[in-house]
Amino acid sequence: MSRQSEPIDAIFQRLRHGPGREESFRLLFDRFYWPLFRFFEHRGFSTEECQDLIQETFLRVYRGIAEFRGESRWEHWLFRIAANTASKAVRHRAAAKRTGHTVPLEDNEPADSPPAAAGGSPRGGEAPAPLRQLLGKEMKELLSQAIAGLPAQMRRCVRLRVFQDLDYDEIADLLQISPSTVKVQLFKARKRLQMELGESFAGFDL
Amino acid sequence: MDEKRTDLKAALRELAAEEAADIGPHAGLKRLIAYRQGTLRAAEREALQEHLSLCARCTGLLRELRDFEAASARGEAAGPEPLRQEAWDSLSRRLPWKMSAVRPISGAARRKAPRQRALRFALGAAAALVLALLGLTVWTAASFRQERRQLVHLEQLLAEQNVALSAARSALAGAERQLAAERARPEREAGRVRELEARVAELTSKLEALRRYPPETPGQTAVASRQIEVSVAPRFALRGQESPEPGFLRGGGAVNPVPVSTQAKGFSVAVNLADHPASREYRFELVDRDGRVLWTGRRPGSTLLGDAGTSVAVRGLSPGTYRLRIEGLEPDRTELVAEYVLAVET
Repeated sequence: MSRQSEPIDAIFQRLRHGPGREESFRLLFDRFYWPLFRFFEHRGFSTEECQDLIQETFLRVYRGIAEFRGESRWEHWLFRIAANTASKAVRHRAAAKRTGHTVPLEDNEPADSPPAAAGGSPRGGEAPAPLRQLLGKEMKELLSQAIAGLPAQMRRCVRLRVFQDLDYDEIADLLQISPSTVKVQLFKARKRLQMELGESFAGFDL
Repeated sequence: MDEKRTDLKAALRELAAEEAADIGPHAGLKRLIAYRQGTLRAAEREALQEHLSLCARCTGLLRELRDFEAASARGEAAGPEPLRQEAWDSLSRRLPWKMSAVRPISGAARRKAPRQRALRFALGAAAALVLALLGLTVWTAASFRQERRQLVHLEQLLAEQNVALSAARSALAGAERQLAAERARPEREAGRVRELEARVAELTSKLEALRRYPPETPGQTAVASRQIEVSVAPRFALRGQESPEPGFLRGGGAVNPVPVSTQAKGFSVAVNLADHPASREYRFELVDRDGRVLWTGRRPGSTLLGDAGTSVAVRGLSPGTYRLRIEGLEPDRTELVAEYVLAVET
């Protein structure tokens, strides 16, 4: 068996009790470096910050390995350390901003905002007319009641699909059910919502 | 019907925001891990699923956990090895075992000459090993840099060749036009015709020679295979921009000036793959003149499609010339999609 494919439990055990701690630690580092890099990068940290945060995570692993009681899987323990490290870094960053140590490099709108020069979307700038607001409020209440009245699993599928914009596979993975079950649940939900809400829901895809 | 659908979508969005604002405390990583492991009791599991259906933050954390598990199980490298080596070098300097390696030898040990010799031998061997490893690392990094420089050089040659080819083509076309005009004249001069014929022949052979230049070296030059649109601005405002004219980058070795204000010290790149076939994932790299990768980032292929595209923010750059590389990552290969030369000016 090559060292790269060695079970992670065996590496951790050697790291805790056996000889060759440095070698075991290097194996552990090599195994989790890229997963951690991807995790921190996904959280929006730069390459340099990712490098620092990975080191911080492994230092914490090194310091905490003797206290680890084995209540969860090793990779979950490591993930918790990484997630805490990332949260701490974000808090530090926010605190530094509050105390005015850094100057924001870009003083314009965030990435997701519409182009300022273009004046935003045509609908975005308009104040809704009172009647439109009233209709919207009514529709929202009807929808809220209709969705709340769905069976539990169907309701969760609808919320994840509509509120969080997830695809069938993601919903299935989150709810630990099969994608075909998600599909059936959403199909039934659409029928039920159409029956309850009438024409306003016709043609709306889930 | 369309208006009704728009109203419905707006109502759904508002409803989502309202319900998400009233979801109570977050689940916590411990519970999410227990959920993932299937160790929660049925009632807890139901409650957590209900929370997840409304809480994008907990859903996001659960998805990160899943991706981390999957990436750990695959164990594949997802970037350049020198980056990992660099992190390990820094980390190993901060770990306690390095401290014990340089601890002075005690007085008792000094009295024991044979043990001291053995220790010296061991230290010498360790130092030799470290030096050898250091040499190997430096050599690997140097050859990596050399390969990058070679690639940059080849691309420059290719760009120069394109310019020269275009000039030769237009010169040849001009000479051919002159020759045809001279031949068509009733009072044409034989000497002038011969002169123009010789010029056409000379330009034709020059064009042929240029077409064969630079000498073919298989597998060294990656050529952009997809058309992509990349725009650069010191602001994010280009995201979703529909007009392709201003601010868009030119490939093929052309130098793209990127004005950056002294306050901003950075710029953002808006990338949109339009409707071209996309890789599952794209890697962006900002490389300096020496081939050092200053910044690297990844985006899922799906975020580069459609109207919006994606934004990549780069900050803290000094004025100079950089290259922005975009690579498509497939399970079995990495493909260079495009490369742009950026001249950052303040």
